[in-house]
Amino acid sequence: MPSPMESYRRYLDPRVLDKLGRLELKARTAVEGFMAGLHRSPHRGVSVEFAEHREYVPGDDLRHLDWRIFGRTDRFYIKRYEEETNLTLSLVLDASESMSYAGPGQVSKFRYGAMVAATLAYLVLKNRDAAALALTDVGVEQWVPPATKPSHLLAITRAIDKAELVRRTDPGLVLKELSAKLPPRSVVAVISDLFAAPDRILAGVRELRTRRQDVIVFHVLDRDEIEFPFDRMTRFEGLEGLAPLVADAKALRLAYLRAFEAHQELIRKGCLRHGVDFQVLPTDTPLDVALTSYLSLRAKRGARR
Amino acid sequence: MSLSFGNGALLWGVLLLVVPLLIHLLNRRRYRVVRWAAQEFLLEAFKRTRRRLTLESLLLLLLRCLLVVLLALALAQPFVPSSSPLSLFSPAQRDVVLVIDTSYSMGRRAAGGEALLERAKAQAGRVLDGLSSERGDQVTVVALADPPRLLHSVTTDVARAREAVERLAPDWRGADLVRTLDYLTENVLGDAHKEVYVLTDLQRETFHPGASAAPESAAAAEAAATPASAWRVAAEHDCRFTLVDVGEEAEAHNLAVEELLPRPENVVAGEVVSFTATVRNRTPRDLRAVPATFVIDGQREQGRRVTFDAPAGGVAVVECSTIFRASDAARANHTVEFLLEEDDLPADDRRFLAFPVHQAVSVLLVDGDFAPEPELRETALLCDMLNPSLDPETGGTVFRLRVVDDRRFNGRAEDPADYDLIVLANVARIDAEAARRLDDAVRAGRGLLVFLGDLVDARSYNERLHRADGAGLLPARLLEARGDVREGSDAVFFPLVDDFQHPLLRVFSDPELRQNPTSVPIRRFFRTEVSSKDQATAVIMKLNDDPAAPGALLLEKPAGRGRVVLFTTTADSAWAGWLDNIETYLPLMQETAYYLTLPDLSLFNLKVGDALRRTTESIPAEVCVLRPDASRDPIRDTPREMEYGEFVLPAYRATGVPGLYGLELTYPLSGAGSDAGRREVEHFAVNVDVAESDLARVEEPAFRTLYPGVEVAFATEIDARQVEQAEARAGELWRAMLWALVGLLAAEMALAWWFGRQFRGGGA
Repeated sequence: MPSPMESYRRYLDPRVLDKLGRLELKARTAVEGFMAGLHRSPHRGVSVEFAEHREYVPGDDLRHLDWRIFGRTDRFYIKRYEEETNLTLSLVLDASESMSYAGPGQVSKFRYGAMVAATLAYLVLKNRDAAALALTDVGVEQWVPPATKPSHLLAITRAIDKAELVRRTDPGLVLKELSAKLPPRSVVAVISDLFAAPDRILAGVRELRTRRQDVIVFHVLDRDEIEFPFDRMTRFEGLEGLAPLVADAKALRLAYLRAFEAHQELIRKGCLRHGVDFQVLPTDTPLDVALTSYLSLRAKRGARR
Repeated sequence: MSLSFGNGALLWGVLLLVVPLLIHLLNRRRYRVVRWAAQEFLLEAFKRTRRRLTLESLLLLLLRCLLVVLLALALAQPFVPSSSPLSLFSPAQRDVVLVIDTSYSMGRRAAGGEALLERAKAQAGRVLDGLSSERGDQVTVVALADPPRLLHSVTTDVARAREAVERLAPDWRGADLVRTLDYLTENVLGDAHKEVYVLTDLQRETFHPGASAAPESAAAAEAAATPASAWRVAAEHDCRFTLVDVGEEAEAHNLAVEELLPRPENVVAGEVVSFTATVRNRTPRDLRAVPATFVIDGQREQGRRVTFDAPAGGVAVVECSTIFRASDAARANHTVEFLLEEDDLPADDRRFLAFPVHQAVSVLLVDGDFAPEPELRETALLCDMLNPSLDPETGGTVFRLRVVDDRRFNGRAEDPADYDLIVLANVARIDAEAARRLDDAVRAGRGLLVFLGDLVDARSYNERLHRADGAGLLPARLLEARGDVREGSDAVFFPLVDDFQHPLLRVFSDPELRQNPTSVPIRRFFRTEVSSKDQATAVIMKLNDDPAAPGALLLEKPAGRGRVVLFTTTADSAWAGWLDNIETYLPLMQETAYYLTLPDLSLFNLKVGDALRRTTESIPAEVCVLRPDASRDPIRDTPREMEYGEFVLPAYRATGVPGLYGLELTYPLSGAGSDAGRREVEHFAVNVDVAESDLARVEEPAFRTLYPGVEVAFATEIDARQVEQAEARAGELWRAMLWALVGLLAAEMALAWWFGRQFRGGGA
């Protein structure tokens, strides 16, 4: 078992954090920018100020039951209050087998995705906002509920450490399952290679959107998957239980790229339709560059809004 | 397709074929392994491109294999005959067809004394000089003849072809251009390019058949049109025709014996016979006192020398008379030769004739109204007509008559086969056996002359002689008798004649004599009916009894080798006014009897190439043909079929040389009847077709109009330069193969690049 410090370091590159920190100083706060667009909405949470009622669903905290309404109507209602914390960032990190792919000399997609998740969590926690993490494959494998304390980052990186990367992905199912768990009106960052049926992925995204979640999709890909640089007779051993294939890679390249790009395009368009940010993150792009550019873009947009 | 190799051992190189195959297979086994995440896109891509990929990789593999095979084949130095479709790739090879005219006009002596065929051989030799067996050049030699002959089939053996050409001698026949062209089309010309050299004297008879015939004749015009279409059909093949004219422009000194016949044709011992030769002078100037010789029965020392004058382009008739003795009649037949001195075209300077000599013409008269006293018989007047002169001073009579009554005839006491002519006069009825024997005898060559009368039972005639299907001897079915011969009746009919050119009526063809046959009063006759299916029967004389459907007086029908003539009235004056019209009756009966007993000279007189056929009454022990050059050619086959009760000897077809042939028949001692142990020689004359002796030519301009659209080059000399050019283009199939190899290599590289480029795509 690695020490807490090690798992911490594994996903947080000091240089990245340094860069992001400077960004924060320079452009007011990247995180504020990151959370932009949510600030003007009233946030619900545990607060003295009552906001609304909603019907009880199993799993709700019984402390928030409104017994008076129960006495009047025999129905369970949950009292909801204005939240003191501004925001919850829910990180959904794909831990399926396909994420384990790493091109030569590159980190694996999962590792890269974990770094993205840890960095974002760091930024959010630093701003005293809440961060949550879900490690997913066919279902939600690990769930780290939202919290605001700085030590929560450690809980998140430990959870990531435990990932096994052996199962298949079903983002549709996962997102549906999560949508019930996540606090409403939070920011959900999905970090995945999205190797699944586009309609299942989009169905999950839609589910989140109907719950008023602000969704960001980070499409983590290896450069090999984008450009397919193979040119020899190759045996491709499929991950996630797919059949192996022996073929002249050169001959297959064009058709592969077509299929791959069509898939990505479908998802990109679907995200656009649902008002979801879609960001491709190739694993060979330095993390600071990738995140800085995305965050500053989002900050600008938030300012405009 | 026969493919030959200069270096066959190198063909083992084809086995190197396994190299690209191995590379292909090994390539499939040598791969690196990648654990791949985006597998579903790869699987989809593979599903989509699998078929094309397989195809393309197979195509490349095929190309590479082909490269190896081609290289091995090319190194083995293959060459192919030009008949092979592969020869397209070896244009250097020549494929030559020599068509050499061997008609007897090619035997014409040109100014230098050399025959035209020798010139043709020399030109053919020049063509052959340009060919090389080593290169795989091919040559075919065909004789433009009738029928066309293949003298040297397609081979690369130029030396043997030269021998075949050297051996050529003129045929004694014409040439059939249409058949030769058809032969070329069907057997020689193919898909491969051929050079066809036709070496000929361009004789009009060959190139424009029918031109010398009457121009109004439609058949001749049609015949003249056919060579053009045959030529066009031949020219549709990939070939180049060159007409090499070896003809002689100068006028020829040329006399042609066109005909040699006895007059009369029934030669009877003791009677004067004159042999008439018809000679056409094809020299463009009058010839005077031309010497000629008749040789009778091969007695050359006693040949009769004659001289005659022949006008330019005209005909001279030369005669020579003789009398055969009675002892001569014992021989099977006799011969006459007519010989001119040799001129520029020797083939037509001689003519031969073979003919039988009869002791007399024997006639059997079957009298239906027989009486012991000759002058009271039905046939009394007819006998007088056939033997008009009883004066012993004039010698023997032609016709030897025997009169019998119908009972004797029906009772088989007489065999019709023993006579040359059988006459039925007012015979009441014929019994079945007599009718059968009569049928056999007539079909074997005898004549039958039938007169009717008041005793005739029409039903019996119709049943036995005409027969229900009309196939019997009688030319027509008898209906009822018409007319009245009783006292006081003045009903009378007169004959009508349409055609005086019929042999029976030719004696009356003089305008002054024409009224003779038509003024004989016919008071009673049998109406007849000729079957509509019967094409053979001819009505020679009609009657004026019914303008709509005139009755027939005289009908004729050929039956087998014999003939039948039917008079529908009586032989005496009972029904017809013969007695008062002897000037008609006498010649008519003489002509009829001659006509019915004419020997069939075509049995003994053949054209060059015709089959010699003979029938015998018993099977001879030995049959041997005595050829004109005195050699003997035995026929070993035995008769296999019968015709009219006689055995048909196997046909003898080697009659390619004109002259007198003998057929020596030796009968076995144990043989039947009179033939036992007998040995006889029957003569046959074989003559050339005189149409070929017309040396008129079709010159190039006339040829072009006759054969519009036929592409033919004309030459009088084979161009030596052409030959050299052909020599310069040496090469074999391997050159084409190397080029193909280079092409394939380029194609392989281009394809591989193209396939690769496609997959790499411009997209990413």
